[in-house]
Amino acid sequence: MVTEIEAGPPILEARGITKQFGGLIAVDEVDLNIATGSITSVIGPNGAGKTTFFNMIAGIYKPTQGTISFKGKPIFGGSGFGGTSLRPDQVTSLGIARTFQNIRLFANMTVIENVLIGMHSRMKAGAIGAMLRTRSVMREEHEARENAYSLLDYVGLGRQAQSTAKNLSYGDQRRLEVARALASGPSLLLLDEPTAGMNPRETAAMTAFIDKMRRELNLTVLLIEHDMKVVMGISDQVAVLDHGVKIADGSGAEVRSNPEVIEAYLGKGAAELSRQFDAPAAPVQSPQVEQLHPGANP
Amino acid sequence: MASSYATRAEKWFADRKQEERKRLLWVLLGAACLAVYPFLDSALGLNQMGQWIPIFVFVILALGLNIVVGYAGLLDLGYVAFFVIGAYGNAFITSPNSWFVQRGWIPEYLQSFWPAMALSWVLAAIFGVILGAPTLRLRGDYLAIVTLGFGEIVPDFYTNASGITNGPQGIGQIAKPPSIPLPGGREIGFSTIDQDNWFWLVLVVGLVSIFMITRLYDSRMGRSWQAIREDEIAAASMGINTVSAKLWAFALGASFSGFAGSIYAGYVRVVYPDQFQFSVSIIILAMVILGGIGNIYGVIVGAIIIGSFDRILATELTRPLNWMGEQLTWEPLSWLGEWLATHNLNSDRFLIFGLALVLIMLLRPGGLFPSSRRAAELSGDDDDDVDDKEDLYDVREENARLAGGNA
Repeated sequence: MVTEIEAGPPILEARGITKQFGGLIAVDEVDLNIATGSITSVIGPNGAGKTTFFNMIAGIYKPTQGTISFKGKPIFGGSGFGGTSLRPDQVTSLGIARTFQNIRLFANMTVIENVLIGMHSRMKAGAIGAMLRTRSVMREEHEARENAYSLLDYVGLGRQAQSTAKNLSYGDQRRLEVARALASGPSLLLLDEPTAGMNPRETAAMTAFIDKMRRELNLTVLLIEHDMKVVMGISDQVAVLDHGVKIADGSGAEVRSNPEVIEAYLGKGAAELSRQFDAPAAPVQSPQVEQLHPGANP
Repeated sequence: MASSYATRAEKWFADRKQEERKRLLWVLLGAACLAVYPFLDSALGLNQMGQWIPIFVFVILALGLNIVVGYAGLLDLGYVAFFVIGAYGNAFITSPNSWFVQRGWIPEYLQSFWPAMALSWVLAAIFGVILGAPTLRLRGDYLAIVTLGFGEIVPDFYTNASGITNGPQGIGQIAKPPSIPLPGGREIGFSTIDQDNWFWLVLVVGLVSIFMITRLYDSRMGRSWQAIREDEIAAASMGINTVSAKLWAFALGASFSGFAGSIYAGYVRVVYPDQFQFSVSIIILAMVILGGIGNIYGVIVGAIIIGSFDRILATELTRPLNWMGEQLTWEPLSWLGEWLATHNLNSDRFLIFGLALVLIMLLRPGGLFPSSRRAAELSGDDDDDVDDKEDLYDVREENARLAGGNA
């Protein structure tokens, strides 16, 4: 599934990103370049700083140090008057959209309203226009709703458009999060553990769907993922974080044979044993999931 | 799906239009029922017109506060501040006693009711932004405390800046709306004796407010308020500028208050700081909560119930209560009879509001007519719901869909 990406200019460049929470250094001088059109995975043990790194790109956390730029424009960089520090909504309107590790839908709103919120940054209507329902506001609302329906069809939720988001099944909620992120028309999609809690079959479907989106929608994807099958299957580039430090960065094959990575996952001395394994035994799926769904495993 | 509409979106808009027509019909029907009240009032000799007009002003205030508290979820305990600003705004612009008018700073053509109302509207919105900007970074309880402070400071400012505001005596001779000439030499006047005309005027203003607010809620901005109320971080990540969305809610809420303030000033013709005590903020909030926070029609009913109790029933029920006390001469309870015979219910108003609120919160936390969405949020079982769904997850159905679906 891995496609060759031409080495264009990176769409996202992070330089020496550090985040300190009090005495804890969650992310320590991480550099990361993401090639346009690629799928990049960030992996690492729990607490390695992956989500913190994500939140800094999305503008939710301000890095303690470092610079982040997107398509050559700074998202965060410098301090004082010359510095830039964009808010999450500004990052979104530049073309970065995200999903959350623990699903954060607007639970009491309908499915289609969730997608319409995702379109917020692409719409213009203000208070006065909304009260007068001017022609341009109405046209915008019509277009937004048309687009929202086609996005929902794209992720396979077209028939549930009017249900309340919290009444969707778990897999559908994940799908809706993706649709909501796509609604802002991003060129970089940040997916935080998109297959968490899914059974193997759902995971396979989600993996294929991520690759499909990348091809059909001209997306660049940055992924946090625990499932090594997913990571190795679709990533052009894999970066490994451990205790906030980037310990490896390269193709899937390079990373999986890196002794430091094996050590981070399995402990010291595991590197020698690793030859017996095809891939490092990462925390793939909890065994209970498969027990609960006998026959779900293809 | 067989449908006469080209797309589902078109069908949705057509459905909405139909629903809005139905709702408009109901609102107009309700308004028509209210509109005949002045005839009943004089026919039955009820003599309550002077009470109903302020009640309607309070309905408009409650509608405005509902934008801030019900839609955007920002607890504002100092809403009276904008009511003061609107009322004094009208006084400053139109009263011949106004410091500004006496210095010739207000052009002649602005010194009448309607321009003053429009200006007060804008003025209150601007103050909404000024007071909102530094406070909206705060969350929940902290915001409530700061707004409480503003609600106290603003009326105090008008008391103490006596050079401009004439202190506790206030400003009189505020302009009334100009008469509307009718064909045949008659006219619709708005002086103090034209209570009926005032009643209809406030009713019309209320209808316009309902119209504007429902449209506002059903728009990009209304959606962004709901999103912020549900999950602020997710809302920001979806491209909503949360600070400006909250500021808009504050400003729009304040503007309705300013609007109501200037009408009130035009009706009573005199403003003084004692009209705008802290309790006004609380009464308006009680109206919103009792009626059904977030549901505009519930809020209207809540405002009418509390307003009519506050201004009419407390007085009217005192007489039967006193009469009952006089009848109660049975010896063991004569002390109660004596107490009831002289008791004035007006002094218990706040006790009764308090009891009513406690009961409502215990029995119907969403208010008398809860907004379906707010009720779902308040019940707080969102997470349980998701868990249930996970347990009941149907593997076969999902597999069938994935096999034939987007995989």
